Amino acid sequence: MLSVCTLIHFAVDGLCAAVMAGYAVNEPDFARIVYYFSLYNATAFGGQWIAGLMLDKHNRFILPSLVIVPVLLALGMLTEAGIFFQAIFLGLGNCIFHVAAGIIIMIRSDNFREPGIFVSSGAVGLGLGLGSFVGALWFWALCTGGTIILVHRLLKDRTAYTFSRDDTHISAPVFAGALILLLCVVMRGFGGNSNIPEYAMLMPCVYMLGKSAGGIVCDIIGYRKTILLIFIMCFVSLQLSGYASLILLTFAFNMTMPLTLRLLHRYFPEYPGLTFGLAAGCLLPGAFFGEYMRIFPDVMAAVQFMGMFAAWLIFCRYGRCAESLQHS
Amino acid sequence: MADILPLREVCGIVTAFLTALIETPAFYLSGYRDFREWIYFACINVISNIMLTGWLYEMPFESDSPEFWAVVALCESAVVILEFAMFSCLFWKGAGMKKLFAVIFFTNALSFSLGLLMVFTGILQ
Repeated sequence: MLSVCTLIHFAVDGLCAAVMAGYAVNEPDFARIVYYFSLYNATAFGGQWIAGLMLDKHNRFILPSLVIVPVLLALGMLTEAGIFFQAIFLGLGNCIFHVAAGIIIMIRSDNFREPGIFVSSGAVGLGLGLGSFVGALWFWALCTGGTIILVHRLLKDRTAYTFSRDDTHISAPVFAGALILLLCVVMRGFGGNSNIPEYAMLMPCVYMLGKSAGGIVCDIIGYRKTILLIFIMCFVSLQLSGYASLILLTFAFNMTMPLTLRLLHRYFPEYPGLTFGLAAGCLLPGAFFGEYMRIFPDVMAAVQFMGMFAAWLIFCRYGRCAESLQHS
Repeated sequence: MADILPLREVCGIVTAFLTALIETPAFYLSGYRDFREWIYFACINVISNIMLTGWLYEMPFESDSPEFWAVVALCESAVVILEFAMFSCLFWKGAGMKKLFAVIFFTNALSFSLGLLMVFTGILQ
């Protein structure tokens, strides 16, 4: 299930990026390019928490949601629809897939590795699509094939996407802890992206490796030691210069992704879709304002480390089933 | 050394080692006698102080302005929390963390006061 979801994620992100890049190369007006990319981002990332909340409340719609993803993406590929509707269709398809598959991944295990691996493939798809290395039709074929396999598996095992919800009171410290985690995600939105124009696919691979490594390392050495390791990696990278510094810093920032995502889910285990969507939505400020706002990377690394430590401390004290994390 | 490294790095490293020289014995005397604990504490100290120097150098205020001292106080508070978080990540004991926070606060206050004294008496330029 994890491998199929990871593969579809790669294809969905790649397809959307390929279509949007295809539009951008033929559009002479830069302002229009920014506008439609923003519209796509707002629909794809900003809509995830709403879709997540709806799918959390109505588990039975997860399967039909996955089925309509290739249809929405196919509509998004039609240039006859116009770029406005293309951006909306692609954004919706991307948004629904992320949340539906995200719920399946979040509820099937309690480790940090799986969300990291699942999310990591999107970065490579995005890089290949934006650079027009692979055509949108190839991505669509991969996405549709993967969806057929996924739906077939889910039809055989309905427990993979159904979970019971037990609404409990959310205390103020738990709410504060979740807000701190979301602030860390916002920080990653600003600091986790960088670009080396000479090597177009280098940074997407760094994102992928960082996200996967974050989850795997956390499962091996535990949450506390992982956040310390990430902070020390940021510190070392800031003492270096050039590409080595940029690559190490980006790698370290991306390692935080599975940690924030899983801890947020542990805060609100009844809302896997909502937490997944909120984490995605918090990347939007970085996507919109990252070019215009400068936050010092050393300040960002320190704030992120302290935030993730505070969220862990609050969870150990006030969170549910906190024993599992207390010793990690 | 100043010819090889820029001034910021030299100041950062010198200040960090001076601070570690003051804070590590104070930490040892506060009851943390385990060799591993105070070696880690010394390393954490060096890292946090190099970061602190970096933050202070990025600050756009003159050193005699009230804003400068407000930011210094803010950065020092951040360093206390940072050192507490870093040490807790390695040696989390659940209970007894309040004592750890108090000790880290005390050692930082001590080194900060001594640093100020050295600056105002002209020992440190």
